[in-house]
This record gives sequence, structure tokens and C-alpha cells, in this order.
Amino acid sequence: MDKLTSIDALKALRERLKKEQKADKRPTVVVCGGTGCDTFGGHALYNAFENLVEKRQLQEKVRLKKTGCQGLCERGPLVNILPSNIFYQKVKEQDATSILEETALSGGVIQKLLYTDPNTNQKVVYQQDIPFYKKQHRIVLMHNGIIDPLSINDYITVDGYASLEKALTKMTPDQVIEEITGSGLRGRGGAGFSTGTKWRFVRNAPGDKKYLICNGDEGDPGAFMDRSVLEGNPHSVIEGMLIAAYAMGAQEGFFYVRAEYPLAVANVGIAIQQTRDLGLLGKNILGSGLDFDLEIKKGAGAFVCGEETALIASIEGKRGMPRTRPPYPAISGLWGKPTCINNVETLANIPPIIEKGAKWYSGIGTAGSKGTKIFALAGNVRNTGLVEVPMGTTIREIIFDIGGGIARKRNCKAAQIGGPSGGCIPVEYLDTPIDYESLQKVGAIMGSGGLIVMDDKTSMVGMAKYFMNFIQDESCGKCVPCRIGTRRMLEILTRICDGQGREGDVELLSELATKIKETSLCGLGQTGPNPVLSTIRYFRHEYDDLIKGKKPQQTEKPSDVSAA
Amino acid sequence: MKKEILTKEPPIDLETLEREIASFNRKLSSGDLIAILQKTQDAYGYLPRGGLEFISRETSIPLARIFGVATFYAQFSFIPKGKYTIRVCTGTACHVRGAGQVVEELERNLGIKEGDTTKDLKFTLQSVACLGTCALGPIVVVGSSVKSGASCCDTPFGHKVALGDKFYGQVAPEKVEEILENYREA
Ligand SMILES: Cc1cc2nc3c(=O)[nH]c(=O)nc-3n(C[C@H](O)[C@H](O)[C@H](O)COP(=O)(O)O)c2cc1C
Ligand code: FES
Repeated sequence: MDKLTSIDALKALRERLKKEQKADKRPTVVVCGGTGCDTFGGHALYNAFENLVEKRQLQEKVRLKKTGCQGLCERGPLVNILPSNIFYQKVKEQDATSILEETALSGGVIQKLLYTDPNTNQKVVYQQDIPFYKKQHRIVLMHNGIIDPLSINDYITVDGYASLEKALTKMTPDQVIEEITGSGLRGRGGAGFSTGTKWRFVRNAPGDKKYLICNGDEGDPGAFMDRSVLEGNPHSVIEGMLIAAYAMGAQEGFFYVRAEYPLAVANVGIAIQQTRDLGLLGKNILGSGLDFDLEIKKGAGAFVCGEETALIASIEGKRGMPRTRPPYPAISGLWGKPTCINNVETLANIPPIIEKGAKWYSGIGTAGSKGTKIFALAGNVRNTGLVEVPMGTTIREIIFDIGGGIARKRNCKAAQIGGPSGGCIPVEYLDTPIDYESLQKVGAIMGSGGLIVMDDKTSMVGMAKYFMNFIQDESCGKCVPCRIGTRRMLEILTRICDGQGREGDVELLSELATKIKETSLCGLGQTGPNPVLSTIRYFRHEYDDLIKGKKPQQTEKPSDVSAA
Repeated sequence: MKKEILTKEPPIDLETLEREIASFNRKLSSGDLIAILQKTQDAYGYLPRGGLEFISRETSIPLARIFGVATFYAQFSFIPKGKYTIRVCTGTACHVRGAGQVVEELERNLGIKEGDTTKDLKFTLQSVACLGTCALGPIVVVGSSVKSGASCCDTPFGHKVALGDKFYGQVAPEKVEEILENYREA
């Protein structure tokens, strides 16, 4: 493809692509190619479709497309027929023929592949009618599951890079920052800092050389939103980064992606190459004078590297250890230069905000938390997967209305939000609205968006021990409270779980937890004791029961997991 | 995290590493260290000492610093791995769905502890915190320890297949043997 050298050329390309798409009347068979669906054979299914189409020479009659994660991972592999939006789940390779013949080419519906609502036993034909999708408000995920992540043309056709166009032609960098500040967008990486304010700091920081980093480390075990966005719509993040670079005056950017996400690394790599080939990355982008380029850095398996100063050390090729702040990265970051670090989901929110405006965005959500948040719904819930909801939605709505309730007719005991830095919210508080402040009040945090549902068979002391084991293992060892304190906490939790707990152990745990929080160097230690504190707060009796010698609750045998 | 280091080690062919380093197409700097180590580990399945010494000579990064970095990150190993690495997720979502029992069954079946390699050098068992497929836990991923060549950008579709990792979802202990079967003969 030829390099585009002007904004008009990009506009013309988009017009042409849209026209082509409009003229193309072929039905499309969309197969989910996310890591989740692939676990159940998504790629093999796609290949089966491809072989069939080739063998029967149906290229003129039907289009095939492989997309990123469509959300309802539990029911994968998923197939969606467009334009009708007939939705099939748990599709097998041998179903390919009938889907092509009966649905794609003849418009019929195959009953046995439809989703059955577990609460009403009704079969649902169209994706948008499934309760899982109905209650969502998809802004970031809007095109996940619709576009082919490996085709920049697909992204451009759905108005991709139009926000960049708008920023470059109609807005000054200051106006972009004002728009983002006015939208109320707060960082989705955990801390919830105002994105516009952070950009302002970096813009105002002295120095010509500035860096922008996309934090795709996603260390919270149980969270996979960022992976799905990177896999399913990498261009939306690249566009967000381009707009951020323009606003702050950054010339170089990095994608820091976990090594555990090979598909995300691959898709982002391809997307960067396509963007560069088209002239949207590099020197003098679209003739606007903007210079910006991107590089991928793969993580190497260290949770603490999600922390911004540790992440910077890791990109510099060092041990990923955090350092004290200030100076904040906005003043002195990568190689001592002003650096902005934003989370994947934060950046993916940028293009829609620039397109539709701050007013539109701040109209969604609550007073203090604007927009939507993606949650990775997992654990003992019927419909596991990715959900995007407006801020202010209650946890109960997510678990019961979208998630379909608890698997195997059990009862919900708690929801864990915020991963190793977060807390367990007991069933009494499930009506807590999801926003930064309300979650903090009940002892959890927004975190990055992991939401793990636990049923009544889960031992909460066991969960506390699990998280402390994780934190203790991932502590980088630089500061004493975190290195040694978490070890002592783990020892106490282990002895309680082993039936060797002592009178006073719970008080000791609380004291240690408070001290570690107050004195640790970085967010890992400052938040690591939270899961212990929140389980003590709400499930103190479980600690006491164990200490008094009652039998510990057993965690589930996995054999009956799948029988939802 | 404790890491084992080999005292004596089998000879390695440095040509592979030379090629990997050449593929950067530029003078390497300290910022590239982790990427080189990743390529080395992919090429040999572990970080051979001779390889690290070679990297030190090529990049002028002191060997001590290279070891410092390599010991920090969980991804790196200093001892040869089995032909296949089995990674079992013990992340939160998999944990609440019973990943513990899957680890136990894998350990029992293979006769090794988590982190170890079978005597016949066929399997290495590793536990990891989250593979990003939390919706389908417990998750087990099996792949070759040595990832030859295939760089991420030249495999347009199904690159994960090219990278050779197979994801297994909703793994129950009873399914462990079924999964291992696929790799025993090959
Ligand atoms: C221990 C620790 C782990 C973190 N892990 C992540 C992570 O995986 N992804 C992320 O985006 N932010 C993570 N953060 C937060 C980052 O330090 C930083 O605040 C964030 O990337 C800023 O982006 P945002 O303003 O867009 O949220 C972590 C923080 C700590 C203390
Ligand atoms: S917790 Fe196992 S894949 Fe995420």
C-alpha cells in the first residue's frame, strides 16, 4: 500500500473503503479468533470454513472474517453471521458446512447452535438479545468482534484514525488535553488518576524529548481486558497513542506487553507495521509535521513491572525494580526524560472521546467516575467473559444480569475486585455501584478490572493466603517492609490454614498489614495487604473458626467446574 | 524467587545466537538486553552460560549485570528445559476453579515437582500466574521449550499455532493424562 502523505489522502481512502464495503452484499461469517475461543478450537474452525469456501468456490457468495474476542468466552467458539447478527455458540468444526449452507447462504437458523438463556430456557437468535450483551455499553469494545484486527482497512472503514484526523486538523494540542480533562477520563490501570491532568504535566515538563508508554503488562491474575483489546483492536490503542503523542509532544512510544500474551504481541506488531507502511507512524505523519514511532517491549514475567517506575527500569533493560517518587515519570521517566504512562484501556478510550466530545463522555457514568469500564468476569459465574458497563453499574447487575448468576445453583459468597491490590466484597455489599470512590469505601479498589466471583464453597482465609503468596513471591525485595513483612504475613496465614493458628494471629496480621501499607516503597507493598484486611473485615469468623480448630473449608474439586 | 544455576554445562552452538543478534540489524544497547535474553531462551530453551558470556562480549554489558537481570525475571531459566514446557495457570480465576488439584495431578502423573523437568527431558512443569484466558480456567498450556525462528510479524494468521503453544481450557484432573498423551509419542 502506498504511504499516505496528507489528511485528504486518508479521507479519500476511507471513502473508497466505505463504498467498497457498501457495494459488497455478501453475507459475512465472523469467527471469534480470541485466545479464549481458540482454546476450544477457534482457529481450526476458521480453517474449516476457509477450506469449505475454497473447495466449493464460494468466494463470490460469502465472506469470512476472523475477529478478536467477542466477550462470551465461556460459550466459545463463537460464530456470528452478518448482517443478520444470528449468533452461534459452542460451534464445532463439523458445523461449518451447515452454517454455510443453511444460515450464511439461505438465512435459516440452526436451533442447536443457539444460545439458551439458562434462566428462562429460551433460545436466543440474535447476539444483541442475549442478556450478556444487552446490559453492556460498549465504547472501547465496540469494534472488538466486528473488525479483523489484522486489517488496518477494516479499522479505517469503521472511522478508524478519524479522531487522529480531527485532532490534527481541528484541535491544538492544548485543546486535545482540555477535551480529555473535560471528559473526566481517569486512568484504567488502577490508580484512577485524571488522564488529562497527567498529559498536562508531561506537556508542561521541560525538555524536547518525551516518551509515551502503553502499559500492557496486565499483571492482575484473573484480568484479561487489556489482552483482548490488544488482540482484537490494536489500532484503537495506536490511534489513542498518536493523539496522546500529538497532545504532549512525545516523539517515541513503547508498547510494554506481557510475554504471556503471544497473540497480543503478534497482533500489535502487525498493526504497528501496517500503520507505519501507511504513513501514520514515522516522520511528518500525514503531512502534519507530527513525528512519532512505536516499538514493542515484551515483559519477562514480573508482576511488579506493571508499576510505572519498575516498567521504565525494565524497558531500560534493568531489573524491574520500582524507585521512590518524586520525581514522577512525567518529569523524569524513561532515560531521565518526561514520560507519560497510560494503560491500554485508557488509551483505547481516547479516539471515541475525541470523536464524540468531552460532553458526551462525561454524560456516561457517575459524578466522580465517567465513562465505561471493562471487567473480566471469571470464577464461579455462569457467563464468564469480557463485559463493558457504564460506571455506576452495581456489582450485582454484572454478576447476575450479565453474568447469569452463580454456576451450579450455588450461592454467591463474595466478589473479588482489584486483584492482589483489591478486596473481597461480601454478598451484602453487591449493590455497591462500580466507581472509584464507592469501591474504596467497601475496602476494594477499581484496579484494572478483574472481577472474580466466589461461591459459598470458597474459603476466604484460603483466598487471603493465595494473594499473600502471590505478593510475597512477586515482591522485588528492594524495600524491607514488603520483602520481609509479606513473608511474615504469609507464614501466619499458612499456619492458620493448616490448623495451627494461635490466639492473637488476626490482630497480628492486621498490625503487620497496616505497617506494610504505610511504609512500603511502591504500590505493590502499599496495597498488597488489602486482600487480607478485607477478608478480616468481612469474614473474621472464618479466621476465628480455623484458629479454634474447626475444619477448614475445602476449595472446589475442578471436575465439576464445566458443568455450569 | 530462587534460581538454580548449572555448574557444568553441555557445549552449545553459538551460531544460532549470532544469528539472533544479527537479526536486530543495529548496534545493541543496554535497552535491548531483555529482548536478547528472550531470543536466547527461545533459541536454546534456557540461558546457557556460554551464551550469556557471548552476549556480554558482543554488547559490552558486564556479565554480572546480565545475570542480575536474568535472575530477576521469572521467564528465564538457567537449566535446560524438557522438550515441552507445560505451564499451568495458578492465577486467581483458575485458583477458585480448582487449579490446585490440576497442579497436583500433573506433579503426580509426571513424577516431578512444579518447576522441575522429567528425567527423560521430555517435560518441564511450570506454574504461572494468569495466561489471560481466565474465563475458561483452569488453564494448561503446552508448547515446545525451544521456539525456532518464527518471529511474530511474518505469520499473518494463526500465528499462535506457529508459535506452537496449545491452550487447554476447563482442565479437570481427569483430563491431564489425555492432554499429556498428545505429547508423549511425538
Ligand atoms: C504493583 C503494581 C502493578 C501494576 N500493574 C499494572 C498493570 O498491569 N497495568 C497497568 O496499566 N497499570 C498497572 N499499575 C499502575 C501503573 O503504575 C500506572 O499507574 C498506570 O499504568 C498508569 O496508567 P493510567 O493512568 O492510564 O491508569 C500497577 C501498579 C502497581 C503498584
Ligand atoms: S487466572 Fe488463569 S488464565 Fe487468568
